[in-house]
Amino acid sequence: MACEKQTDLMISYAAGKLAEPERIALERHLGECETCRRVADAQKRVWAVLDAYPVLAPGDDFDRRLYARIAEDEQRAWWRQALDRYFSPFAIRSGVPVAAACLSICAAFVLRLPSPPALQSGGGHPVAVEHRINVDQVERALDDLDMLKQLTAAPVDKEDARAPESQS
Amino acid sequence: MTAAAVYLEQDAELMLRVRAGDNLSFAQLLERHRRPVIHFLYRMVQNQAVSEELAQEVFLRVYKARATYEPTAKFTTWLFRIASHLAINWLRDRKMERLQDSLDSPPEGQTIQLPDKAMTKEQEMLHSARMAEVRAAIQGLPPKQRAAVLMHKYQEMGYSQIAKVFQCSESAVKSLLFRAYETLRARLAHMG
Repeated sequence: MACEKQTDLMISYAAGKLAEPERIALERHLGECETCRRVADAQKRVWAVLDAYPVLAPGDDFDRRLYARIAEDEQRAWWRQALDRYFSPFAIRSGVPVAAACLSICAAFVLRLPSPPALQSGGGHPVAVEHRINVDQVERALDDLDMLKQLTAAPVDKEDARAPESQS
Repeated sequence: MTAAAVYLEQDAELMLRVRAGDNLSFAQLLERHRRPVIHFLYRMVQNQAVSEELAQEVFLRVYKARATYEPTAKFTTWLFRIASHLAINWLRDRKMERLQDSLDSPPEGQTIQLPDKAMTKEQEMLHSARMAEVRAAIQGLPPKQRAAVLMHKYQEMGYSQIAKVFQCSESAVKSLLFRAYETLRARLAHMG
């Protein structure tokens, strides 16, 4: 590992961009520090090797295609450009998470809405609730009928009992 | 004033003329920066068709932004900010789509420097092997480190200008370049 403060200096040194006083100071240091000297040599070799990195000549019709694109772009109506901006594949792709978030919020809102009374009181079984209430009502009604029967039964018996007496 | 400074001021001057509706000035800007931008993009993406497509997008964006252009920074800083942004995004999208791609495979649509005709077959093979090794080493770098190295080495940009391109601090750029060159030394130093 080279001395940390010297490393960026060595990058500039290998690139030949170091000012004279800094270069002299660094070379003095390299004379004394074996580790830094190795790093500086390696950096110089890398710098030279990178010259072999290939480049590409622009295609002959580069300018023609560019001006055609510019002309096409300028001819587009403003609304067409706005449509392209908001409905381009990139915009759609980046809009998917937003749409998903909106859907989740809507779903959460709907699920948290208060339930209708029938559902709330019946715990999801409204038919069973109605049935239980009817049974109670029927039982009470039957009881009431029994009481009415008992009340009405006595006069009938008296009349029945009196009838033979009157007949007799 | 240095020749480079005059050149840079000319860029800003030309761009201001483009803003005023002078299309000939745009043609001049294109002539001056077409090659460096295409070279940078080709070294970034290693694909001829894609690098030309991205370069067209760079100049199209420059033209479309002419109305709002203000010469607050060097023209090349702005130009390479657009170019590196497009290239890094393309590499990120491609990585998502084609994770299985081998780094060592030859670049697509390759039209590159041909070896010297005086080379023997053996020298030609050696040259190709060296190029492939350099290409693989550069491609092995994360996109931002790659862009920083390419701007530092081939566009001769200093830490300060690269920091302005990435809109980060100079120390962040030093750190990026330190890590990038450390990787390259480990892979390429034996070739020197």
